[in-house]
Amino acid sequence: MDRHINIKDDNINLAVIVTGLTFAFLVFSVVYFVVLYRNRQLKNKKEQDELHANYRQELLKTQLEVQEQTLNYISSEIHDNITQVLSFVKLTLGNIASGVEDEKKSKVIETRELVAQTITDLRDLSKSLSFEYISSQGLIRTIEKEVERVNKSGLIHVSLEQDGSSYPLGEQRELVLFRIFQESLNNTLKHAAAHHLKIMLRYHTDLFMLMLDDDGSGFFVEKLGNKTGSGLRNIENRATLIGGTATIDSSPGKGCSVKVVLDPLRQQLF
Amino acid sequence: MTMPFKLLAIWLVIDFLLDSCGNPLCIAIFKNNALLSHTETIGEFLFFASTYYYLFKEIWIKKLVMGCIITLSVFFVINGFTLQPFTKAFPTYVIMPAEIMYVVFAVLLFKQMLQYPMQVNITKQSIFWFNTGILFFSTTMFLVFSLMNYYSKHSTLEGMTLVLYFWHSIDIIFTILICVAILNENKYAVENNG
Repeated sequence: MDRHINIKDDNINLAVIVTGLTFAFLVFSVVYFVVLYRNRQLKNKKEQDELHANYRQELLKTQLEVQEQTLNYISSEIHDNITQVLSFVKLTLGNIASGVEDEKKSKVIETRELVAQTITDLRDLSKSLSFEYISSQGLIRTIEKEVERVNKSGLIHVSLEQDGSSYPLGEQRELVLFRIFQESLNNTLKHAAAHHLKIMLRYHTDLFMLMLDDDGSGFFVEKLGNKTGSGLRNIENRATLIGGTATIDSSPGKGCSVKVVLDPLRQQLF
Repeated sequence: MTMPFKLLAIWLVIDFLLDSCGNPLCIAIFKNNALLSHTETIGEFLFFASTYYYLFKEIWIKKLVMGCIITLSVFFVINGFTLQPFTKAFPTYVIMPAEIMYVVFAVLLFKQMLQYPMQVNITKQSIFWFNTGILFFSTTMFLVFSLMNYYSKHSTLEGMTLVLYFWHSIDIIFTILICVAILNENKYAVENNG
């Protein structure tokens, strides 16, 4: 009788062990699958993010190329067409001035001078739009010219400071930095109602920084956060394109500061 | 809900009706529930295999599933008329290949999930719960049958009772997992359509 009970107990124990082992194996398999799946999800997400970033980069690159082509076209049209016509007008006015009586002569000369000034301004504008001009002059020289032009207009007082000795950042990067500078400058002129704009160029061994600081009306940066087409978003996108980061800091009544930082040693050209 | 989970939901209702009404009816008429087992086995296989057919993405696997459905259906009829009569024997010859096919389908579906991972938490994926349920049910069925075989040969009543309890527990867990899958799918469908 005792032996019979022992056999029965052994049978039950065997069933429990086999069942337990089967369950343990099943649970282990499912857990292993979940872990494996999680890893695949992360890998997949990373790949998708990379694809998205590459796509965005390509899109920005195309946008910039189209923009540069358009600006170059406008620049050459101003230089080769409009300024040529104005030069002809200036010459004609010079000829007229020599043949009229003194009363009208002063007015003609005055008009001629205005035309001459317009030609000079248009040439400066044409240069600031031209890729060839910017790359031949370099970033600092082009910014200096632009500062001179704006100061001459009397709309705002712009000061330029440089820290450290300059080094070339590469044609494309300098062009993009100049376009960022132009975008910020235009924003200040259009919206800030500022009296003073301070531009700082910092050339350190492992860091380059472009900073534009105005004393204008300022704004809430968060409110502009979702406007993808805004000029400020363009600044951020352009900075990303050259491997840098743009920081925009502003609040009502406290002006606006745009800072672009990049690693000069990292050669990311689009 | 998508088609595969609609099929699952329909099968759950049919299964419930068969168990609650068909079982006493079969016992009253044939003095056993062999016919019910035959009906449940083929019904379950048709619905689950069709669910897999809709869940698989690759054409060759879909063709494989379709081939399995046709082959097993034909074998089911032959088996019912010759080897294990519909009203007299339990359809083990159909159940065993069906369980093997479930395991193969489950493994293939897990492989597909790894190939095309979704950016959704796995516990919120109905496909995961369904497949886990099928894998759990089909693998433990082999254990149930082997234990039943063993205890019937050694004539231990306690063992048989234990296996029957074990079988019912598996059935309950399986049904819960399928319900979780259907509820997840329904929640997803409501979130996306509503």
